[in-house]
Amino acid sequence: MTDRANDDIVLEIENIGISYFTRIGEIPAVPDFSLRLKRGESYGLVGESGCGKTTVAMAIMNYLGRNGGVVKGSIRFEGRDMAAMSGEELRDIRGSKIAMVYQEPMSALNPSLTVGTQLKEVLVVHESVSDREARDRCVRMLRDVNMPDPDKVMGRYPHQISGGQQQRVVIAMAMLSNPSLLLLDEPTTALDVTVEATVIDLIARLREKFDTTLLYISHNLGLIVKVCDRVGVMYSGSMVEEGTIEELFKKTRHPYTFGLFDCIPTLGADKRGRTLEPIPGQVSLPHERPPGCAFGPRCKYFKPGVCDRGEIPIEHLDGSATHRARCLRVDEIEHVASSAGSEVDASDGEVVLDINRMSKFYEVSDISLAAILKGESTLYVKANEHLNFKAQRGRTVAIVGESGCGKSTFAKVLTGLETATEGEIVFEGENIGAISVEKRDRKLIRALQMVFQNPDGTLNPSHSVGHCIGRVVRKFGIESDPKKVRERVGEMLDIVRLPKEFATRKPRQLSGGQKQRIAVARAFAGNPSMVIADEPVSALDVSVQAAVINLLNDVQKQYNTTLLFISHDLSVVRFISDEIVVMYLGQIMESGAADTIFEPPYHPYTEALLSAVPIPDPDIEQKRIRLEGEMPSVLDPPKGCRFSTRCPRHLGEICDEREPPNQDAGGGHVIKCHIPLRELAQVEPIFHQKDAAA
Amino acid sequence: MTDEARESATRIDADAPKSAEQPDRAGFAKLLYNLGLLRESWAALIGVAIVGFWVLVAIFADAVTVFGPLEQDQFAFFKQPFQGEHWLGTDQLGRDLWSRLAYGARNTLIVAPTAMVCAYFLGISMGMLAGYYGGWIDQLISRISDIILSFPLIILFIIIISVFGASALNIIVAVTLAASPGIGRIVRGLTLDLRNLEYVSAAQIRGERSLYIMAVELLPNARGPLIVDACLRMGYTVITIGILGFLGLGLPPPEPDWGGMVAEARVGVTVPNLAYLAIVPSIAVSSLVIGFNLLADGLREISTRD
Amino acid sequence: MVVFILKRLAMMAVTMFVASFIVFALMEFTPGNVASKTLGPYATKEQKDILFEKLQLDDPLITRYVRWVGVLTGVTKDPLQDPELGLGFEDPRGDRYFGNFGWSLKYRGPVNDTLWRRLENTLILAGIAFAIIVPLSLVFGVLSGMREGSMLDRGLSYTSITLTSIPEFASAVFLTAVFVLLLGWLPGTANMQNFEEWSWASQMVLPVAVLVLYDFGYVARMVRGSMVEVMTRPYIRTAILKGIPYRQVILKHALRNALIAPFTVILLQIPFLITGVVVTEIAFGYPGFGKMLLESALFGDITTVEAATLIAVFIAVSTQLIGDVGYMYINPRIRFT
Repeated sequence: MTDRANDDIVLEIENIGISYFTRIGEIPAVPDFSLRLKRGESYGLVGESGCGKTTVAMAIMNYLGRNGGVVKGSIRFEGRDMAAMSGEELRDIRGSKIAMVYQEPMSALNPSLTVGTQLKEVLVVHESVSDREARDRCVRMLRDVNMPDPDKVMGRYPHQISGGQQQRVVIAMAMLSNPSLLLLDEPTTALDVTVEATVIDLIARLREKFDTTLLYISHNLGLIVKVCDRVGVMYSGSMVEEGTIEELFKKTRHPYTFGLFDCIPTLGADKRGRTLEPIPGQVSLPHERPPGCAFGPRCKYFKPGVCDRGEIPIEHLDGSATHRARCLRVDEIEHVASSAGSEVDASDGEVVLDINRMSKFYEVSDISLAAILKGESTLYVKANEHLNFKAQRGRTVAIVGESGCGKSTFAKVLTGLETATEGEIVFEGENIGAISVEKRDRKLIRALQMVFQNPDGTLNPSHSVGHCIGRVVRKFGIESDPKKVRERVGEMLDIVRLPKEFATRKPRQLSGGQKQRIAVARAFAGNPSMVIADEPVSALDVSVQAAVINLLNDVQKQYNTTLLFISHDLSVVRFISDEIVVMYLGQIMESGAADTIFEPPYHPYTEALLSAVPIPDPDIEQKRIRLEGEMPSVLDPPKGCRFSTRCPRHLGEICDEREPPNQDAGGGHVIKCHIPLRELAQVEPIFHQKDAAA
Repeated sequence: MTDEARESATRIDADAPKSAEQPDRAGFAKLLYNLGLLRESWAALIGVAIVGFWVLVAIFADAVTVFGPLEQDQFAFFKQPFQGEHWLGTDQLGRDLWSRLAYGARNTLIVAPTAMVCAYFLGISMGMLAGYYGGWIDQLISRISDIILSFPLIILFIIIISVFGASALNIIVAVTLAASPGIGRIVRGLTLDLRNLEYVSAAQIRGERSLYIMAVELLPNARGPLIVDACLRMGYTVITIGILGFLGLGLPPPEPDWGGMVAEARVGVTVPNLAYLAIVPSIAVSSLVIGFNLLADGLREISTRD
Repeated sequence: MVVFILKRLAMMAVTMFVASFIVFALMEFTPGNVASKTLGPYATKEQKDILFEKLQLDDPLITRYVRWVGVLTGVTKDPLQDPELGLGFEDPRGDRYFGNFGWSLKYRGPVNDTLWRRLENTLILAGIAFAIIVPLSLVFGVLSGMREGSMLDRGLSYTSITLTSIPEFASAVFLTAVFVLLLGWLPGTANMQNFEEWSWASQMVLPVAVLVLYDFGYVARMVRGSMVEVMTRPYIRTAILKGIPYRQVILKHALRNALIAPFTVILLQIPFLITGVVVTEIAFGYPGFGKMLLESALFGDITTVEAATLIAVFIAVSTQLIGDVGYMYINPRIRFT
């Protein structure tokens, strides 16, 4: 090929190797990586954490820190070798030709400079425009990213605007000088799902408008489908499969890519419909990669003597110019889709938990002088208001909602870390709403246990796994003899499918997934009748997430425990739960059996949530409903319906003024809305299969 | 703000353990292993060497000296260092300087650690209570600390010692009183950081008593920063004891006291033949403090490296 | 904001109140009764008895404390100045004025005569030191924090560890040995007399140097620590990847954030320097506030000690107040919440 043919190539990465140099020596984070981006193209780079995708982005920016560097190969941007550029040339390109959007918008913005100062700077530095012109252009760009009231925002500090708005600022900053390449590093991971949907829409629109080349880095295949033309899947520092969206999703060839699809819960099926197949094992550390295929140790098609011999090249498939995979056995593998789940509803229908108009208010003092003078210095945060629902023995009830909806507060009240302000929580026949954990008896405490979100915080780093589980066993008087306690610990480890030797390990010697398993073992060690799981898998990678979900499911079945599953992820909730409670701003908007929630009639908020869920299937189309504005402050919620300020189906005054009724749609399906059920039932479903002919 | 946890997923680095293979050790083996870690920082090594030197001298003061610290050599006043049987010379009363230094080290290294243990006991208790319970307990403890901390330290020492008289016990009381609010503040901060972690909630949910949570769940995880802080404070306490001696508020004479030795000899610094009397104990104090500070720096470096 | 400042002012008043009571009570508990302490060792038994009665020393502690505060604030007359007693405690300011600290036994005159002169001397010494310490530590702290682990950074680290480890009395000894004994360039004392022999400036050099050496490293390390921390923040990466010149990244993005934390530390050096100079003042015989405090404490001159302590606590709490308000002002995250 001649150079001329490459004119429309914006970025060309050729066989680069990126290493970090640490005390233990050179760590090859990315051993060999190639990528070619054409002008105007949108490319998605997917992979789990630690696979090297961010490292690649930083290498493109030539910003690997003092201990990192490109050790081989070349990165050419618009035909120029980045490595050969002087500091001055590099500075010229950064921020003007190549721009970047980061994962955490809050920390990416300077807390002590106004938004305006940080935006204008880009134009002043790169285009030497006057302050006045820079200002005008920044305001225009803020308008382009749908920022409400751009003039005012220019004078604000980052902490004064919401997370979604901060990300819009970062995107505006990146687009200001109309870059030819935009790198997006997990730009929506820190955002709530409805906010994420609007930001994704925005990125897609800006891309069309400015004809920018995108490199979109994400762990979420569902997002990639929405914004990209081509996808590359990375595993342990290497690209394992690459192709167009169509090729990668429909003609998947690499075992790792299959594996990913098999372990992602989708909105299409629940635990009865299919099983999740976790990928066994864990990613090997960069300096401990096996010879041959890096995925080999976790691959079910692994063939000794073939897959572990020498380097494996990435090869084009079936004569396609775009579809490539790094697997020697790609033609021999016949992938079988995961088997159907086999779940019999074991519930005897006994109600274990009955929440009856439970509310939890926090008092906050307003320390502004005006408030004190007016004598209104006490404000109430209505974290939970009039919650009503029931949970039956052996079932899984999910509470879904975005941050600030009050779902974690509910967990605290239930476990007694907080007490209810009013209403009842009847647990196994006893009203426990007003009893704090210090006043609960051992039987009650033992009956209600919890699994937490963050694997790094869930285990005390100073104590061994054995101590941690053993303490529960002793505390709840199950065993007291040290030998028996040890046996019981071993049993629990066995149940969560970890070797007994793990009892002597400290948390820092465990992976995230293993820590969550220990947390599950700890929660179930006292034979509780109910376990509350607060976002137990949201901090885990998908391949590990599946294993923990399966585990929770199995252990629950084994002990016939009621599981209260708190989550923001509708796909996971869809998979695991029998019943779902949807919360918004402290109130329950909709509740009912899992499948009824995903079909009309919908509460308008549920409808918006479902519309925002990223789905890793190019064939499914979602009705597009986007929420306007920001979630109101919990200190000053709307008077009538909590959702009225953002509701796309807002009726009028009645929504703003009067609290909506709880309408019974039959079979325990309750919707809190002023819109008549009949009308709600008439909307078309959010999801439908794309018409193949169209 | 609500106490709603940030619910968006914070993804962890990789699904692999942070440190791959670190076998567990117990007791003495663990201590040796941790001391081995010090090799990675030459600052810490030098610190250990200096502190170790003075600790050995203090313990074996009887063995490493020829003369008693109070013994007066009638035939040798103002003997210069490095000449004859008095290694570091003698003072105006003919007392052996090396011997006074060695026994002075013993005094310092008894008073300073004792004061530190007391200060840490008090400070940790106050900080834990304030940080864990919050509310009015926190308010009360924090306000009392604020008041003590707004007394300039030296004035506090001068008042306490001049009121109650100079003695080892009073020095310990003064240092404890002055240092514990600062320690309390650090512990309170650490407790506040730790108390919202999930393993603490887990302990609360399984009905553990507050004392258990503080002692078993929180304290062990605060020890890293506290050890570094203790090293720094040891250095500072050695300075304080020196200052008290220098100001005439230290151990009453003729007890050997480094600060007191400098004070006695201060006027002579400008006289060529007497300067060593002030310089030698000054070097002793400075070296011990440098030792502690280098050790603290090295420990911090090691602990933040991974 | 207003509420915050009001709260801090109230807190400050409480602190002063408690501090004064503690000082008063401690001084009461020293051996010997107040009458004999007021009159000194050479008074007769008769004189002491008269004073004991006059001062109503039989009253409970609280009553006497209230009376003492009354004299201090100028609400009541100073009983000691009553000519009937014949003590000769005469204060040209009168026997009833705000800030009447009483009569100093050690300096044989009203406390106010000595106190303010000494405080002024100390302010000069501490002021010069402060004026040197702050810019020096800012420059070195920022430069070494900018590139963690650089030669400059390592050099500064170990220099400042060493310097802060040397107590003031020891560095006074070392400096005197070198510059006075060995080189003969400077005087060994700074008693602010004999200006014919040694100029004012030459007398100030060593005391200032001792203070600077001891304090500079500490402040510089604080600044460095804050700078290092800020340089690892993602917003610095954002600024660099925006293509902003490195100089500007430092000056505009890093500095502003890096100076927020050390701001309080720097302000706290003011009370430290004013009261912490005791050692330096003693070492060089400098007639300052700290030397006065120690002399009077050792002499048993309770009135002077009480006065000095109150002044010192006042300086400390007002710097704290300024620090808190200033901190709010320079930190937009607190200013606009």
